[in-house]
Amino acid sequence: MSKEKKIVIVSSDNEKFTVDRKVAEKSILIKNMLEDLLSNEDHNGDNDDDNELLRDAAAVDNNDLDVIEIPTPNVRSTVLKLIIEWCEHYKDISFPDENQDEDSKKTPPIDEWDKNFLNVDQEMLYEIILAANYLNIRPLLYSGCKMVAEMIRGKSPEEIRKTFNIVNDFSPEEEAAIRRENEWAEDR
Amino acid sequence: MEYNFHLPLRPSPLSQPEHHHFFYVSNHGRLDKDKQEAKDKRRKISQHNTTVNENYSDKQQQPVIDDAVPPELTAVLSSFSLFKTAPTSFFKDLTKKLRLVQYHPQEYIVREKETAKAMYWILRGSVGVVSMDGESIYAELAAGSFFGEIGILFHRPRTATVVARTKVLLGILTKDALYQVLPGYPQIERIIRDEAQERLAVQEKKKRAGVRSFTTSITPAVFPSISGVMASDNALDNSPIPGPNLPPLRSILNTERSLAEGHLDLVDRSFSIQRFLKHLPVFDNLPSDIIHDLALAVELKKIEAMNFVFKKHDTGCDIYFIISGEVEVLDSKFDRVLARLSTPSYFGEMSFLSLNDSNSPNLQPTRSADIRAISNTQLLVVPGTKLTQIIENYPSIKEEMQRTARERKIRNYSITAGSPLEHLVKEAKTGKLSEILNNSYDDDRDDVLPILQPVFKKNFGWNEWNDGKSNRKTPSPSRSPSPGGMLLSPSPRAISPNTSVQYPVADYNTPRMNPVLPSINTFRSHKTPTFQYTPHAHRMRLNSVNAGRRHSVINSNMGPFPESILLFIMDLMPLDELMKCASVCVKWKQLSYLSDKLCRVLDLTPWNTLMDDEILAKITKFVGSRPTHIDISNCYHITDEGFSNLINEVGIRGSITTLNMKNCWNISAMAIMDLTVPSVGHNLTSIDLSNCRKVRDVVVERLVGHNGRKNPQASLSTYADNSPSFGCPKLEHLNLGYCKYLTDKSMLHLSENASDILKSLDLTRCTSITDNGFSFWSETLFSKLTTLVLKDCTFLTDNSIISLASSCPNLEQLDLTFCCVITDASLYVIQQNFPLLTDLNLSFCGSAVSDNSLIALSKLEHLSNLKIKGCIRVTRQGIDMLLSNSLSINDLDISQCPYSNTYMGKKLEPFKKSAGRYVYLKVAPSDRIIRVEL
Repeated sequence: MSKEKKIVIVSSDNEKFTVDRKVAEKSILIKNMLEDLLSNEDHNGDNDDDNELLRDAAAVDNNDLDVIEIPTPNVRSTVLKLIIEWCEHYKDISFPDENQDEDSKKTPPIDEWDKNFLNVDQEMLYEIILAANYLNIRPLLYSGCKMVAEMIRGKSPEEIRKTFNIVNDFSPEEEAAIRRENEWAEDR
Repeated sequence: MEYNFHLPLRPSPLSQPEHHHFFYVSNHGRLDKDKQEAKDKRRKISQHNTTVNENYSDKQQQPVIDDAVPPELTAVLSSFSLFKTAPTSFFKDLTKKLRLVQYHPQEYIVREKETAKAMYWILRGSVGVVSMDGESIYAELAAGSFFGEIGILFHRPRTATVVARTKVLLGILTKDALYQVLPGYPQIERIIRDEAQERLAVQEKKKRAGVRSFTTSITPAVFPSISGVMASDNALDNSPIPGPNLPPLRSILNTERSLAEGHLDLVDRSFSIQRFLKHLPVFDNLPSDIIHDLALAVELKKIEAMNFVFKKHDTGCDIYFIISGEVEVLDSKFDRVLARLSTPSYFGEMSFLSLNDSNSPNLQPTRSADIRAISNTQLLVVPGTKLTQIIENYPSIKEEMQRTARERKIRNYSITAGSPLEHLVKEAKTGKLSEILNNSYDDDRDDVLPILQPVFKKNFGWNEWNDGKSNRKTPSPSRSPSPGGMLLSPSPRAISPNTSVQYPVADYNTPRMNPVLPSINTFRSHKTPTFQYTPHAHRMRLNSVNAGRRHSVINSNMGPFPESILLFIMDLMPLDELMKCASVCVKWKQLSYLSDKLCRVLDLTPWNTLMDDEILAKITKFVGSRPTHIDISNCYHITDEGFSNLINEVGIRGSITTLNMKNCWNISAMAIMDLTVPSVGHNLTSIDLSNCRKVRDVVVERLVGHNGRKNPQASLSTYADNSPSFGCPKLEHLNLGYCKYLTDKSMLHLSENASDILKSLDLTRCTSITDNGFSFWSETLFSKLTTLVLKDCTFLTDNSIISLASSCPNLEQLDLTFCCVITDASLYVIQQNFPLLTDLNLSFCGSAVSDNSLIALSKLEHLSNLKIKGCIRVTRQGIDMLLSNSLSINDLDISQCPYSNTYMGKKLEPFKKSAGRYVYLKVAPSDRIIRVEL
């Protein structure tokens, strides 16, 4: 690998964000993609890769040797901007390996910075979560989901439905039955 | 001991007016009168203690001397098939404890929902298992059967009402007595517990399923014949009872059948799944513990005539064994019957085999033909997933199935290709089973027959012959190859003309478990989840959740997140929030009840004061068998009932790895032993029983089990040859703190059976364990034991430490707090023998810790954390020597050491406390920082 390359991430609405590789690699999706791509490049890239995305990126790469362009067709630019902001913030922090054993059950509280960062409107929060999931950024996904779990905490089922725009599709009997089963969890 | 003729545990008839209701509405005209008679008789018995003019009365009247067990009784007991292998000493023990009680016809023996206090053996006569109002009869049990064991083994209220059908003589074994007798006879206990567990598992599964058409039951006709196997079979004929004017049993069953069927699902008392499985030729060579394991996984299922069990192209790989009734294999396209099957045939093996095909495992096997019930059919469903595990170890089963499948394919092919089913129809009409077995199969099928032949004993009388007329159309000849489906049965029976065709039961549109993920997830760095076959139990659960809704409807109503993210969010919620979320919408309920990703950890400590049996039961129902880590510490309101329910429910999958039940002091030893059933406990690595006050030696014995290699005890004891396996073979961490009833016996057992597995052991305040107990250890190597806590074991002396020295060379943490009797000698032993020690707690070991012994300790190379709190002989001299000699200590507790500021008799300036109770010292030679607690 010659010198540090710049990565260009392209949002669904075609806005381009140029970031350091280190920042981009907070996304495991991008990280894996870059690894594949750059090792392919070593072999002159003639492996027939059926990943469209990869080929797109590689094509760009051939045009301009210093820039790798990565399209993220599912992420809007406003969301992508926030995601990149998050990645910039954590670029020097390495998170514990993802596949840690499941026994570590204690879930740490949300990082304060994350909390502020995710203090956005609901729609945006959902989009960040979906994007974090897609880009495979576990710590961000974790914080986001934790925020949602916090939102749910203390709400009644009816309030939850309202929050998430869910229709009550239980029959009254069913609802009564399940309420009865779980009532200890609700009325305290 | 007591053969007194009295009638305990029985509700007084006078105090229960609702009985009258039953008697009035019942059809048996003479019941009221009978009852009156019975009442009179009983009064006679209780008031005057006179004879009851029955066969037994003489014997019972005699005062019984200890050793004089009436030979008749022993003879009756030993004729029970359950006890065939039992030694005479068992009968002696049992009969000593057994109390004989006679009941008159129509008397209640147990009533549903009562507290269970005893179990019952039927010695003479027969009883009926009935609904609470007595209207419906679920089952008849004859001599040799037992009942009431679920109640006492699993500590739950009676699950059904039992009423005397004829005059019946029962042997009553109370909970306490059972507990006294059984530990001596592990094999018998195993049989009883296994059977009870299986019955319970079936009951629970059915309760949970809650779908009427799914609920299973055993046709009443099955009962007498099965219990006949267990019984000496003379019971039914042997009822020369004056008094009750009841029709013969079988006719009762027939008249009540229609009534009973609706409710049968609650009880199937006398049907032993295990026995059935054992009799199946396929499972011939499985050891009994595997059979038990299997029996816990199976389900009973009842299919009404003309309903489909499954249809072609359904997915699924469960194997169905026919218990009673008959099914036919259909090629739906051409409406032809490929085969008919009855007990003990099985079907469904083709898709099962394709699942296990080593060359090209088909993860989503589909059925190769339709299966429809001909008569009301009782099926035993063996989950394919379970069987897959088993055939890994017993390939012969697979081979046998493959052979069957191959034969069936050939057969099906020949049927569809040419000779249609006149052949079959002819067979159906030929009548006798034996004829068919012997003659009517042609040459190339000879080798299949052994598989299909019923090997049941005669009194498994399921093949009752019932010739019917065939009204099937002769199928048009066709070329359709459609190889698949199953082979025919040895006892074909024609479809009776009046059975109407019903179309498939709704229950079979099995839900898809892995809905297509949203397109956002289609990139290759996201692993697409491999298709997982849905275990049957899971599907039943799901069914009860879905209540027949369409998936598209459910899936479209789940909020802004795709399933994977929603699960991630749910996983972050505490249990109470999660349970609340179940009532948001159907999809959320489905996910929260069913997803394997959730509830892996069941931690109830946040609600410990709230937790009682009732709430625990709800939680158990919610989490199902998902948890692997259970923490119910400090949930001290939980009793046996809730605990047993939890353990048996969660344990069915056998995946519990850790259990913390500290301070659950109401839970009895018997209940804790539920854990030691191998299918439940085989993955348990860690258990905390501290302050479970009812723990006795036997609990430790059970938990640890026998490891079989060096086990003088087992070979001595009764009949341990094929000694049943119990215990938790992976147990590594055992906390027995405050179990003060544990004695040296436990220590012996640990040394014999757990020396190679234990990593940590906590015996805090096990004050009944003495030096003697540790002496058992001295010749055993506990190679993995790294942590040992002997806190508050105040009676231990140097001898114990010496014993430990030879047995635990790899000890890293040792806690001897308040072992006041040990002396300096112990510390030298410790220094010499535990080279890897890092943590040592010698607080309040005043007679052991002196300045000199501290010098000895300073030679321990890895010792980093030393507590010598309250050791009054320690002076600054010793501390100085310790700190300057040791190169490893970085944490030292010298609080409450009154002379720690005295150096050779002179008072010194005390350490200056820098941070709270601590002072950080820099020690000169090595410049290390040491934290000292003052």
